[in-house]
Amino acid sequence: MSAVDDWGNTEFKQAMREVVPLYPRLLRLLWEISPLFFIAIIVLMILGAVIPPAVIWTGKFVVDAVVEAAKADLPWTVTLVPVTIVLSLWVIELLVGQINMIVSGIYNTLVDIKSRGRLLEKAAEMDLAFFESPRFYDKLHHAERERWALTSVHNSIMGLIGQFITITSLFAILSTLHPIAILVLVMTMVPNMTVESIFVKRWYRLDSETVRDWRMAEYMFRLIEIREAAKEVRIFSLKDYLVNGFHKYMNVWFTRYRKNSIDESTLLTLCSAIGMVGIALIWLYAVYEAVNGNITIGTFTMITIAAEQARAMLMSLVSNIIYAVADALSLTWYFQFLRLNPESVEGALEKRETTAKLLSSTSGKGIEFRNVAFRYPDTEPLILKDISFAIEPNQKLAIVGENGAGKTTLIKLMTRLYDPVEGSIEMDGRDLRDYDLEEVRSAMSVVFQDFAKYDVSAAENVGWGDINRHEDRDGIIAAAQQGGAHESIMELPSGYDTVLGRTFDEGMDISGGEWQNIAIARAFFADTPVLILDEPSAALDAFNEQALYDRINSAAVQKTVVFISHRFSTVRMANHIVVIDDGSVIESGSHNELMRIDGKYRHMFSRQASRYVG
Amino acid sequence: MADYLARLVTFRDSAKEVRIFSLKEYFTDRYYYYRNLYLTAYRKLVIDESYITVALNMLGLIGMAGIYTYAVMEAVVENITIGELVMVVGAAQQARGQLTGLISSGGRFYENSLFVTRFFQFLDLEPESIEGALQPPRLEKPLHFPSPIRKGIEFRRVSFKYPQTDALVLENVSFKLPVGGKIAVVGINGAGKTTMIKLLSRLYDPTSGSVMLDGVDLRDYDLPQLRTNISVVFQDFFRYDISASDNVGLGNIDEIEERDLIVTAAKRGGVHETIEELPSGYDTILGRTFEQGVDLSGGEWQNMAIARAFMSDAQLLILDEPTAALDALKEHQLYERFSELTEDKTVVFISHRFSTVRMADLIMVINGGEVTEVGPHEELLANGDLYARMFTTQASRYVS
Repeated sequence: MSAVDDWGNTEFKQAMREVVPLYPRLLRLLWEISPLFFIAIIVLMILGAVIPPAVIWTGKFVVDAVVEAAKADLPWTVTLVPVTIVLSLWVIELLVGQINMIVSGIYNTLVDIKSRGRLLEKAAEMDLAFFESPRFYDKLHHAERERWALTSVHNSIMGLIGQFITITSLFAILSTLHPIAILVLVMTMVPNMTVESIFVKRWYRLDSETVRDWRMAEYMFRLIEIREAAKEVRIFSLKDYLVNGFHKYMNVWFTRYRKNSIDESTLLTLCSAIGMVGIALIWLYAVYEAVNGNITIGTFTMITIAAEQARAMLMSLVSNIIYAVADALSLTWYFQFLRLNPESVEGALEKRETTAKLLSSTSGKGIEFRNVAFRYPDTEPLILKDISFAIEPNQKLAIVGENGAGKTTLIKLMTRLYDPVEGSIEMDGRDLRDYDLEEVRSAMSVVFQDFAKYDVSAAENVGWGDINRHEDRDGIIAAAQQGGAHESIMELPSGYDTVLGRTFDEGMDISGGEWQNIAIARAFFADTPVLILDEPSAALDAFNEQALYDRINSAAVQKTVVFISHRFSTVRMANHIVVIDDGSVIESGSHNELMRIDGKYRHMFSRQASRYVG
Repeated sequence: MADYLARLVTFRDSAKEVRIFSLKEYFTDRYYYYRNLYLTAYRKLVIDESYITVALNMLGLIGMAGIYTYAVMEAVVENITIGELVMVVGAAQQARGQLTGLISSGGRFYENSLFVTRFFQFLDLEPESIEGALQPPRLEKPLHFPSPIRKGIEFRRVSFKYPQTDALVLENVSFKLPVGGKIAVVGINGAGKTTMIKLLSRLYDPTSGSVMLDGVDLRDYDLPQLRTNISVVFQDFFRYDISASDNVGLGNIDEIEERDLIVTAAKRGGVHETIEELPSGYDTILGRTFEQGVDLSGGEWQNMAIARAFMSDAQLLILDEPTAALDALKEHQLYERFSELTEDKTVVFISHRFSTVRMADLIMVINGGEVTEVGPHEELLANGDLYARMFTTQASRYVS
């Protein structure tokens, strides 16, 4: 944190500059979530704020009436009117409070639902580059983590309105004693204000300087907590290392947290002592006035109560202001994310006027890579340097290359998860960027190497390949058969309705190969002209691999199939092979042609094949 | 469910498929659907609850109103002084605030206690009471893990089913594994191969039967010792978003600072060159969790996991699909160095690639929860059973 001066002022001021324009946005969002509730809460807040001073004020009439009655020996019934008013105010106060609780509870739930919903909608707009860049991806998760502050900022602001009204009325009551009393009370708050504003900065600094420690602690905690790491944590006996690491990083934060807290409450206690002196002065003066008969006993009672209350109110007013600022500071993340323009993310897809219409792939001209170069955002080296090759309609094309050669990247470009840095990819003779993105996506389906395993029913796992038909059970079964998943699904306790994975109680986990078959089935269900498979046989046994081979040659005759594989038994499904090395296409042709060239392909093939002969 | 759907939209792991299959609208809609169900239920609950709160508060108010009115009446007839009346009025003011506070904090106390109860329930959970947890040591003083292993491993009539499920994944499996060999386990998808590895590394105990090592049930060995002597690379190995050096070093936590050992392990795992090419070499943070992180390709991560396993001094090394993501040259390299790398270790590995299976001295075929064939490659090939059929299916693709 070298850019920060001793008090963290530079960064804090910067953050404050962002906070001020935040309030209009914040209020607008809260309003949009539910205008009805928004207004209802304000009305209830005002009612709730007016009642306490009203009670104190009517209390004065009760006391005065009693004094009057006692003096003139009137019956007690003369006090009936003020007493009834006081008691009904009590009931109204109770009801208003209760209704406010219900309304706020429901509204807070609404805020929770809709504010997360906004995040989802925004995240859905983002291109893949956003998710693969730690810098941007972090913004989303910060936003999600700090989202709770919406409710508390709202509460603070509403609280402020209420407190402001209450305090004004209490001040009116106090001014019946002497206007200076108000000044005295306000003066006693100055030390509080000063202390609290110093500590907003200190807390902010603590948070921003311990971000890294927090995140490391969180990561350690996650490793202990999540299922994916559970096996290795046990096998390598990492438990102590992770638990100690968690404590170590948390302690860095906690030591400073403790110091801040102790300092803050010591100073605030001192401030309260000063406040007491102020109250004492007002009391003394009220006693003096009452003894001299300048004010009635009822007014005296009213003023003593009002002074106490006004001070308590002022204190919470001050801390509410502080909260409203501090919470808004946390919310900068949330609004920054909502405001983020998807196109401004490095590596985001280019937006063009989309004029071209996609031909069906059978009648089309296929896909062509023209001098494509690509690097991932925020990185230096080009992953792909100069890639040119064509895929004929209905061709079965294999991409071969060493680990890290850029094969998966090639697929991400072809499916327009990224755009090339240079060159272009054409489909039916037009640049991919000229088509509507959704149309390109609906022409292609992909099984990624790290395909998703959805913890929903087997039927949905397949059905999510084409969400418009996801309840078409016959289609799902047909796709499962093509993907080779049908038989293993039928053996599950509830067949296609069995929930998979271990997130939900009733979930059944299946083997790695069975998951892969389901992912392939999902891609078949999408029934697109182009089918892309990244390492489709990595977890498949030899029979399953053979079956996949057969199905690609029967069910997918009318499809363009592109796949990546390190198993040459799988590569042989292709009628055309492209070999990638160091970001360029170095060989292409059929298996036999490539074997004749005696280059990289032949070298790799024979390495593996040698193990099958003799 | 709403939370799961929200995670699918906002997490990196599912980002690619959500885009390819255009699922985002569907997931977002379902999110609102489930949350609105919750909202309706919540609304009913708070309204019902508030009747009770209002009733309780009213009782309190009536009591206080009684006292208040009584004090006023008494003051009028001068049974109590004005000072006392003032006190009662002030007290009533304060008491009302406290009353509502009391009732709502009562409610909050109840809610928090529920939460705390769940927290303590988790802390009090006896690890052994969980279905499928490892059985407590049967011997008062667990045995030392033998070093070196002399006789090898034996599965004796082992059956196993996962907790909360009915189907036996392994049924009455018996076989012996010699020590010091390279053993491949082959079988069709879903045959129970990974499960066997979990039993062998004592992540689970068998439902019946026993896994023996040097003639002693695995359960009788000291567990920490067993862990340091058995190392595993899982099919779904973990990608740690920490430095490359630590990624390897986690394989032997006591030596995590020993750069020399780490480099040696990385070389053995075939990932040294990849690491050297990273911006800060061994100190480069991997993965995409942290801002300076650099991601590796699938195959490079797999080499990393293998290096991690080589980091430990384990006598028994288990590899589940160690070459699934490796290219043919990397696979070949591993093959060439395999005997040298593992000379003093017993290595058990699972693979569907027969080019990898051929690294083994001994091959075991599992089918329908049973071991159906055991022997060297040539023998099994000559038998003409499942192994031979699987092998030729794949091999036929290599003959032009």
